[in-house]
This record gives sequence, structure tokens and C-alpha cells, in this order.
Amino acid sequence: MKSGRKPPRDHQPVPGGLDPRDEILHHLPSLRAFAVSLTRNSSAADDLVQDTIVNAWRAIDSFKPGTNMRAWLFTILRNAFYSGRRKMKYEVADADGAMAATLSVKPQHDGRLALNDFRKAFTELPDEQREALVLVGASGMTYEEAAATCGVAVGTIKSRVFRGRARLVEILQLNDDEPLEMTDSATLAVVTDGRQSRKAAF
Amino acid sequence: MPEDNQDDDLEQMIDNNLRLVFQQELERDLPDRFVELLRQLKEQDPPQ
Repeated sequence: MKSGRKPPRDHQPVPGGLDPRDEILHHLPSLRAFAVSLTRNSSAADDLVQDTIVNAWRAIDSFKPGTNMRAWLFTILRNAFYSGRRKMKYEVADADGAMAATLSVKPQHDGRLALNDFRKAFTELPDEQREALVLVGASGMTYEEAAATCGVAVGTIKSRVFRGRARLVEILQLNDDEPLEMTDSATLAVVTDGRQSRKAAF
Repeated sequence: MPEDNQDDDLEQMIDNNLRLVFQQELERDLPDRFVELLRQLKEQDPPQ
């Protein structure tokens, strides 16, 4: 059984906490999920979160109390990610084999979507599209918040989200006349609950 | 229009799957080293 601790409930301010650094702990689960989406590698993601914690701690004076700490932390994390990519000049090691699996497995052309196929297709997207989809599609940020986090124009984020979704549809071969069916019970449960808020908590 | 409806369905399906994938990430256990790192940082640089 893997060691570790249960993640704290996300987005919960520390009761009575006056030091904003105390809040970092409560954003770790979403930071790591964002890091995994960027690195596509759980080990690299953990290293990235560790760097983000240190950078955030040192830069805490630049955080404005009362503003969105999660967005602030996400910005630090993505800056560390892209800075690391520029230094390395090559893709991070694919220790999890996620990309290899992606390259060797094609989704079935039967109009069905399994969650594993979705994960694999997602890893094929360019960094900027994965990032935009996570921030807007998964974390519930507004386009404006995502744009501020990434330091780009709102239109740029909208374009990345649009192209990311279109690419997923293409990879998963969803854009045909066959009815959409889910082969994965968990996926089915989510999709049939289609009325859920688009702003679900990350 | 049927085509628009299908586009909406696809968008909703993609976003639902995104949320599901990342919810699963959120629920994974955190490595102890994160909490330990925060503890060490606080020890070195306590609140004023």
C-alpha cells in the first residue's frame, strides 16, 4: 500500500490563519493534479509541486491577501514548468509509460469512449491546450482567470480550449454519426449526470 | 440544429471526463514530503 496522506480538503481557508503561507497546504491536491496534467508523469509532477511550494514560500510577499491563492499558485507552478522545459530542451522522461501507451493504442472506432482512452488522448495534446482545458474545463476557472494565470489574452485561452476539444474529438474519433456510448461505468455515471455545474470544484 | 446539439454533447462529454480524471488526481494520497517540506520551511522562516 502506498504511503502518503489523505489530501486535505481543497480550497478551505485555514481557520483563524493569518499567515497566507498556511493556505498552501490546502491547495496541494489541485496543484498536483495540474502538475500531472502538464508533465504527464507523476514523479515529475511531484518534483514540480515541490519546486512550486518553495517558490511560493519565498515569494509570499507578492501574494495579495484576499485574492485567489490557487490561481497564484498555479501561475507559479506553470512558470516553473515552462522554465524547466526551456532549460531541459527535451520532453520529461515518460516514467509512467503514458505516452508510449498513447502511441501504441488507438481508440476503438465504435463510437464508444472509455476513460483510459480519454486519458491517453489528453496526453497527446500540446502543453498549452492541456493547460487551458484543465484550467477551464476541469478546475472551473473562468476564461478570464485562466488567461490571467497563463499571462495571455482571454481570446488565446478560448482558442486553446476550442482547439484542445477539437483535437480530442479527432483523436477519439467522436465526430461521426454514431451515437455516443460509454463503456466505462464511472464515465457513464458522470456523463449521465450532465446537469452538474460546469463550475465543479477542482 | 442537430449538429449544434452534437457539438454541445461532445463538449459536455469532454469536460465531464476532464473533471472525472482530475477529480481522481485530487483524491490521490499526497506524498509526505510535501507536508514535511512545508514544516521545514516554516521552521526556517517562522511567521513574524
